[in-house]
Amino acid sequence: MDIGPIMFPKHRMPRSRPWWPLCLVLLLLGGCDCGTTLQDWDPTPYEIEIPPFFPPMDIPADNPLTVEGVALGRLLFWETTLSSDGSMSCGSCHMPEHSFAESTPYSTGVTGAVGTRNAMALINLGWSNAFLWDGRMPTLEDQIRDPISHPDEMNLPWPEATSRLQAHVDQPNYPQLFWEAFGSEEITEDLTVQAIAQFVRTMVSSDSKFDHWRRGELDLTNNEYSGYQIFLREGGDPENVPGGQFGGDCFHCHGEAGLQFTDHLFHNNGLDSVFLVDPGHAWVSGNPLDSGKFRTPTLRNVALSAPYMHDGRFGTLEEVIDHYNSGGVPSSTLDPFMKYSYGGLSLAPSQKANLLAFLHTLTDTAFTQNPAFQNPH
Amino acid sequence: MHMTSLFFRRSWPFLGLVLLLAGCREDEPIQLPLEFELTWDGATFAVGDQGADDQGRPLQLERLECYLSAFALHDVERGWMELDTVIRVNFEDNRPVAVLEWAGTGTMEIDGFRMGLGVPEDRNVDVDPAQYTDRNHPLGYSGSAGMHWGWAAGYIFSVFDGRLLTDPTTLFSYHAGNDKVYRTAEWSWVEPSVLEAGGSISPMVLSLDAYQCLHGEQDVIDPEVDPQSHTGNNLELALRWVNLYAEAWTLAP
Repeated sequence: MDIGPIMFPKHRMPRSRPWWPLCLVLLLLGGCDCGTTLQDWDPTPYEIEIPPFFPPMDIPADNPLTVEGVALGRLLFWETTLSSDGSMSCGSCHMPEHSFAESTPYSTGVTGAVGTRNAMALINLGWSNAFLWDGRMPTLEDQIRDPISHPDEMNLPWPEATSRLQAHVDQPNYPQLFWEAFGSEEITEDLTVQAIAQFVRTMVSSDSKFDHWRRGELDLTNNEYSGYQIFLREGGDPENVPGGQFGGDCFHCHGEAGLQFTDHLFHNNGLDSVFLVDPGHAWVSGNPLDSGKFRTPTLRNVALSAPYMHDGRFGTLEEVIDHYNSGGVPSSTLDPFMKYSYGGLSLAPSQKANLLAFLHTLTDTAFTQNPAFQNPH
Repeated sequence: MHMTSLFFRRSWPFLGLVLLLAGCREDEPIQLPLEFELTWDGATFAVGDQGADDQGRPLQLERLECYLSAFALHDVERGWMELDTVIRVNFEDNRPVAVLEWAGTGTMEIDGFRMGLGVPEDRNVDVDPAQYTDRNHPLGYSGSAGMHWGWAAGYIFSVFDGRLLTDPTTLFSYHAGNDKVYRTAEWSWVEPSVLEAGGSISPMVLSLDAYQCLHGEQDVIDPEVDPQSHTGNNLELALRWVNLYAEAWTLAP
């Protein structure tokens, strides 16, 4: 909003004040070697481009994107100094070639400790409203805060992490970069997390074959389009499943709204009958009805982000499709969308192949190979 | 005389303020708080609770959400005063609430209330939730999570999921969502109520009986026989369900 020049009414005109204290301050500032002042800090806003059909991105008011912040976040994302033995960075478990996930079921931390859940792909997280498989982190900043200090992951207490960055004045000069990004050379846990979050919000995938088809720029093959129709149709043979349409029933949870292929909700997709090892979202909500429920992951780049499920139990997409085709196993919280009680989806081999072909149209290598996301060190 | 003129000279700003305040009450919106309660055959109920169906089988309700829209108050003099608002009600929240605002109507004397059960056609068909600049709007991308079929298909007006705790269990899922299953609930009463602009109004309590969502005077849905409709795949069952659902709403006296 342009409010025009600020005019002082005559009776409120600022009075003339003695000018010598100001000169003294200026002289003192000029004489001391205390670096630049906050008035000199002028970060460049980072204009993130929202792809066609994508929803607006909610960026926290206290962490707006800046060119300097994103650049710093990228350095920090790939910074092995942020692990206790200097061997790991965020990128160690979130590898570009796997859609910023990992190819093993569980991640191994710097101490050799093995995690209990599969690393989730970092893709279009600027549109998420809950993080991690059980949704225990409400913001991206919260999610980023955890792995650096977690003893089973990077195992570096935050005070030590910030001390290391503070002392790191050569290639890169982190205090200088924090100044450029946040107007402060004092490196804190919050600012470190904010910088990485800024970088992660720029990791936007919108260049898959499906995106181009959706924008009318190319055609899908017949097999891919058939697979898409299976994706959109109700599951099951109508002879066995009320309302069945010989589909895959994928769209209920991996909905296309905003082209994100997730409903951001929590479901029990019939992996287990009991949940003693991992109660899933119930661990966060305290509600027994949430037992065995996990956040729906996006299907974007799903062909690159094996293994699958919260525990990485399926190594291939074929196994995943077979699981859904079987209907899963019964339990007290099995999602109504699962077709266990009807014997599964009854997809024929050719239908499964077409569904697989469709899932491959969600692959976006322009995203995984984007130079802006690679290791800058 | 002098005293009088001094009084007016000194007091006119105060009098002006009083006049402004008196006038602006009429300019304030009428705020109508709504409170939603869930019952099972008349008894207090919650998502996650178990109730017995008409055959005595235990039934567990696991999800109950809906869109309500096109609210209107019937003014004795002016007829229906409509409001272009959509709200999403999740009965998993303990007694969910909403506040409706009628702006510029002044005081109303009302003897009727109605609401749409679902999303009106002009806000439903081929509307992409991503179009909403406020993604937390009830129809926006985040606000509609789990309540939209897909980018070109429309919103899910109501979701009623659970299971019969028989052996084996029977999962049921009734999802209604297209223009054919849009319904309106309407109530009227004899003695009009006065709603003052800017005034304080106690909440209007809307009650939904989950038992009646399956058991009506004209129809009963047995989840073992008819366990699932997502509207597009089983419109006949969706129509039966929304007709029961529409009758299951009551406005507390």
